[in-house]
Amino acid sequence: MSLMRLALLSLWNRRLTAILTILGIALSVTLFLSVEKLRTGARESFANTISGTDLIVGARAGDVQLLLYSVFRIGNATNNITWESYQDIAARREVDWIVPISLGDSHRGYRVVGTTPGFFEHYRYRRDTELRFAAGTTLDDLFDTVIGADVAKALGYAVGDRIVVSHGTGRGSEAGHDDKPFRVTGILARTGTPVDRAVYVGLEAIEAIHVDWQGGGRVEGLRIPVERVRNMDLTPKTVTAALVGLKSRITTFRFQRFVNEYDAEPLTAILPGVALSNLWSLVGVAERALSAVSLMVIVTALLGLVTTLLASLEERRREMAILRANGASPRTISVLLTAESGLIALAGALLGLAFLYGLLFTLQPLLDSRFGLYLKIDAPDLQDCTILGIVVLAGIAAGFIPAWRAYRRSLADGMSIRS
Amino acid sequence: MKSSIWLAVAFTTLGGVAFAEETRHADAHEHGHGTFQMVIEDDHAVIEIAVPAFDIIGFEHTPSTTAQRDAMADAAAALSRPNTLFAMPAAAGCAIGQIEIGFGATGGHRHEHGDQDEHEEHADDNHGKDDHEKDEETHSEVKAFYLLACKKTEALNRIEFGYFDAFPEAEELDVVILSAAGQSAGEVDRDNKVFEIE
Amino acid sequence: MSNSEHALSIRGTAFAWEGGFGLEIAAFDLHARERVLLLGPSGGGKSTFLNLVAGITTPSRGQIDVLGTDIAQLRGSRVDRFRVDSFGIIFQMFNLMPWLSAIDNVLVPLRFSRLRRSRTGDARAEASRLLGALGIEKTLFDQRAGTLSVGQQQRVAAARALIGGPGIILADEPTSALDRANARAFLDLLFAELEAAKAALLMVSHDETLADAFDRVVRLDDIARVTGNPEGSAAA
Ligand SMILES: Nc1ncnc2c1ncn2[C@@H]1O[C@H](COP(=O)(O)OP(=O)(O)OP(=O)(O)O)[C@@H](O)[C@H]1O
Ligand SMILES: [Mg+2]
Repeated sequence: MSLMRLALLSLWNRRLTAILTILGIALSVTLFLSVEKLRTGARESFANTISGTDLIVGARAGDVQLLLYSVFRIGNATNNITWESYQDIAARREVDWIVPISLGDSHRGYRVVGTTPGFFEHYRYRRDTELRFAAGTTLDDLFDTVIGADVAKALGYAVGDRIVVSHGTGRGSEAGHDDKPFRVTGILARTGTPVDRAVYVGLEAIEAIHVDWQGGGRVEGLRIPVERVRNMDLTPKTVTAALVGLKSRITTFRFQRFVNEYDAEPLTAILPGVALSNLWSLVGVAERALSAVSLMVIVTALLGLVTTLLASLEERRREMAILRANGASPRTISVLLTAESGLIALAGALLGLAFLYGLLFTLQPLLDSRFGLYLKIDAPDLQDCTILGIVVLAGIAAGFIPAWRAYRRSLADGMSIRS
Repeated sequence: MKSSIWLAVAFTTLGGVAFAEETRHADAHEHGHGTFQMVIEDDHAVIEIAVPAFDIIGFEHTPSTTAQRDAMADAAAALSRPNTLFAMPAAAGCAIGQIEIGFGATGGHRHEHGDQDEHEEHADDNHGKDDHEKDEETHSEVKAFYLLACKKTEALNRIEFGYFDAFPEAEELDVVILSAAGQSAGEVDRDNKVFEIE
Repeated sequence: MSNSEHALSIRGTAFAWEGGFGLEIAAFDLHARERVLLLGPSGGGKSTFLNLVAGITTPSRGQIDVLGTDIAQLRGSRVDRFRVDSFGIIFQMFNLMPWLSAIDNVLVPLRFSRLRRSRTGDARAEASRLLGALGIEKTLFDQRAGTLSVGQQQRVAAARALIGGPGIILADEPTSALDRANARAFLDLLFAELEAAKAALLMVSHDETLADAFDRVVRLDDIARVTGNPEGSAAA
């Protein structure tokens, strides 16, 4: 009969406490690993929000702020860029393409983005992935609109539907531009980025819906019919921001300098990748705190393991004594206890891993559809394995404490249990 | 040659090592902290660093003593070895094509060639390390520009900053790297010398 | 060194528990293959004496010569090894690991004694044979020891003590849970196995009626002096 079998049988004898301990460790391991997965998943999908754009130009602002409103559509621009400045920038010879973004309107809680068809052509996410139309085509007519996947799904829109765009970004402020309905010409495929949660119209369309508005309110009695609007000059006066692609990457820093020092208007050009990492380093603090907390949970579970082992040691003094009386050395007893503790930790770690994958498989679609957080399910990486290894090693180390106590305890002590 | 044309473009666009233009790092002159910018395109990589002179040579005034001039020469020599300062994977097969090193005051426009001793000499004599902060005018910056030709730029996935071993006063570099894979940014410092390019 | 006729030879040994109760044994011998019954009042120190003999406790002085080795001089895990090689022990109570099967309990000493393992051919067959010989039904072999009656447990403990043929069997009231007739039957089975294994037996009991089955009867008072205990010294 091997020592391992002895350890296993002894454990089996105390299976209730053992299973609870294993469960405790498993859950803490699951917690830690899933926090890590969420963390890296969030970071990745965050970093994947925009790619392929060399610079984003907006009114003078902090780079994180500009990134937030132009890409994540969080918060509002303090200022817009004049159309003249936009034209000026667009005319630079370094510029390969430029896509304007005009914000300020909403449709049933979703932001309306005034832009050009170039947006669908040049916007990239997740390592240079292009936007794709799940249905329909790009903007063509003045009153065409393309909607993001989430918008289409949440509001049940299909290509050909007519929708009304309202002024202001407030939710449900539908007292809007109802005389100028838009026709859905395209629905974008899901990207898992804020692109999914917006309604896209042409830059001129933004002007068009505002021609009979002034200072945020409809001018009384002034209702310009759609047909007349079509014939008006709809050149925009401002845009909120612009995405810029350069012909050569090498000119990036110089171009950035040019924009930042642009005389006619205070402007800011940001490198989206740099701004993303700045933003992430802000979020990173919370993220690290989360990791720290889940690490503490693992430590707690391991302390629980030590406690359980020490408590069980008390009831097992006699068992130890019988083994000792039958030739087991104190060292053997220590090994037995350490092995047991290691086994518990190993079982906990493996079970935790199993839980993690169970969770991933069940929650992945939900996270993807509800939060745009796409978690890849792949084999445990080096970091996961390291954590599992540490848990098992810590479990073995935890076994040293009761093992040491058992080692020190004399045989006579175990023999003289009277009850 | 393609590469010479390319070099010309790089020079005009980056402006070589000119100091006239106001840059982000010039705004915040903080000893120990510099910037490292690298652009990888096609089979080339361009690196530009801008660092307070203090980080590189230990003082920020025009050198007046022989020792200071030696320090400057040493620094220039060290800066001429980018493969030590910014070690890249051998697989990338990068060779140095061009190096430009400039010492100059922020805000001023002058190239250092070791012959400017007369210039601003008055400010230097009693210029201790401690009163840099008060004496804005004598802040100076070192800029270096490197052009590398690489066989396989895709293999450029990490940079190890031997820079911190070469310059004991240097503490931190803000790193920005632009490549076909995207833009990556971060910091490297003495304890964390390796930058992984994503 | 010592007489090969002696399985056990104690000279000038003293031991005291922390609580104060102690024993002084001037001399005691157990001959090879001899069966000795040790009698004494409850609390008189019989179990204490057996612990000392088995090296479970260490004497403060004197020698305890077991089959030619002074067990009092052995240190560390060597005592444990020596104990399992030389002794088969039946404790007064709590003999078995309740979560092991009867047969696995019997096999435990073989796990730790290479000597006894080498003397046993097919370990499971021998364990089964011993259990059968001591009157345990086959159906109980694989039952958890904790579910056996106290008497059955004592017989399993006897089989464990006998397996691999140790030179000396120490038995601390192995018949305490048995009625007189069964105690007799148990002793007969035990003695038959002892005969086969050529082992000596030192058995503790306060049942004097068993005395006639033994080669020799020893009273603890005759061989040991109680120290440090008012009750014990009053009895002396
Ligand atoms: N582990 C121990 N620590 C301290 N004192 C002990 C220990 N074990 C026994 N004693 C003391 O030694 C004395 C003798 O106990 P022992 O168990 O040897 O008696 P015994 O003769 O076997 O009695 P019984 O017939 O009831 O089994 C008692 O006074 C007891 O208190
Ligand atoms: Mg007793």
